[in-house]
Amino acid sequence: MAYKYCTATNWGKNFFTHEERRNFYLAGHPGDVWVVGDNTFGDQWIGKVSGVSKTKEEAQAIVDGKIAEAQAAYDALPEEEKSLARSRPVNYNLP
Amino acid sequence: MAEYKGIKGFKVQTVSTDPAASIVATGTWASGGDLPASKYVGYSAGSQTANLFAGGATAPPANGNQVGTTYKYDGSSWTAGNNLNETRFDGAGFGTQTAAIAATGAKNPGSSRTNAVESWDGTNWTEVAEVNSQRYGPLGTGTQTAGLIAAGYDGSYRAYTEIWNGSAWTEVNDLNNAGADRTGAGTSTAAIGAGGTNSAGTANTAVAEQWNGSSWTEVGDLNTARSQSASSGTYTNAIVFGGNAGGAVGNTEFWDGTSWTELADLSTARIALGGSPAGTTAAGLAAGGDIPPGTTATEEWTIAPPASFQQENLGQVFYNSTSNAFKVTQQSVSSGTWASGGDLNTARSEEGAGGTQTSTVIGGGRSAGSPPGLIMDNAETYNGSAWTTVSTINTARRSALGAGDSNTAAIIFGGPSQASPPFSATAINESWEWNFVDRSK
Repeated sequence: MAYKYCTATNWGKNFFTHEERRNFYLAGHPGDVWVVGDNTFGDQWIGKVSGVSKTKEEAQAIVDGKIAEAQAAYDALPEEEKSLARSRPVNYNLP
Repeated sequence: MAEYKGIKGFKVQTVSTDPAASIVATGTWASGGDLPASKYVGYSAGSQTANLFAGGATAPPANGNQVGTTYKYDGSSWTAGNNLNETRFDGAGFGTQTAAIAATGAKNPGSSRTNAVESWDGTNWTEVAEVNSQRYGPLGTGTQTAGLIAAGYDGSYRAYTEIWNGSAWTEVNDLNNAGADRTGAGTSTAAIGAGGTNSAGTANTAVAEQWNGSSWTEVGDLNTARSQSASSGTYTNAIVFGGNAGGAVGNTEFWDGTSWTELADLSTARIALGGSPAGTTAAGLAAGGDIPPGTTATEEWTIAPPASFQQENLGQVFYNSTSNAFKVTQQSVSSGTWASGGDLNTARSEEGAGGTQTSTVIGGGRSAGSPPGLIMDNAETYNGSAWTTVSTINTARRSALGAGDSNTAAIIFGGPSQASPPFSATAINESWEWNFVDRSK
């Protein structure tokens, strides 16, 4: 499956609808990064939310930066706090 | 010249994906109104259109970012209510938007564990009786007057279970598997807990256990092992979504009382999100969570309207050259099933009843035991999950008939007052409007 990448701020209700979810792949990631199914419906949604197009590498860099911030915050915690936070945020690759 | 297609041809519908196998499989997540501020590890109660999300923290680390704020959702937007008395996070929330419980959790300094419990009346939080074992990360489910918490961490990972009756907590049988951060659905007498950590806190599990009011039984595992997820529904009809599977996940799984099925994912994977403990598998809510960082995003789970649902039927399409038509074989699927509901407070038979599945009143009947059971005047109302004893009917009787459309407006009529022959028919009717009022004769 082909994807497009963008950043967009979730404004809440109707940012994405049930019908849109049925029509194309959509997944939100740290840093307001959205991975969008590459079809007509996905393109229409990017326009609707005024999404700022990113390359996959640009989108991945934004996600990596946010996760690095979270990892640094986790690493700074006392041990007891780490048990409460459960697990250190992990890096992953966008599809 | 006529083509063979024009003479013999049929239009066969082309679809890009299979129709849904069940109506819950038609569900998708859509964005809801954003929380006023980011929140995770909070206390959830209520449904998709009447939700409550209190306490928690704005972002990791929870200790130092914890809040006592209470947010209420109306299906469109969140508004702020009065704060918890004690700022805390990572406990158990359950009940409804107007009648909820926030139990245990962690608080400053040093994320110390608490056994404090607060009760929400729709406007204010009031401190009530404490649980017996302080902890954070328990699952919780039930109502403001009949709840349950289980598992959690108090320095070690525990299997403890406690029952709340509206005024006190009682320790009951432990889970089979100790851990923390499970999610739960159901009532204090019929619940399911799923996922969570293992007993060492070193890994997430897919374990699920069902509670029958006295003991836990292991049932089918989740497809995706995880902790800190959220849920909506009952112990035989629930969805579990989001959580920590070594990273945030958006997986949604449906529990039909026997096994788990993967459904459509959340749009944004998240950990320690709020759910809709009083919601259903047809309408659920995911609020906030840690992406990272903490988020204000809300998503609403909704299934397709039943009227437009076309279920996939497994079978074979074939062409009948005699009738000149395509036909299909299919495996019949039953359209309805029975699931257990809340038990009556007083066992009986031959009662009169009126109302619906979620709003019923019964009165009279014959008490339990070998014949002849006593003729009763006891009455109870049902709200879809639990029975409540209410004022007695005026004339004890059995085998009465009933009618009505809710537990606030119903009628029972007829039925003899004798336990054994000779029976004497009666014409006495009694109508119920909040309290039984004798309008007979």
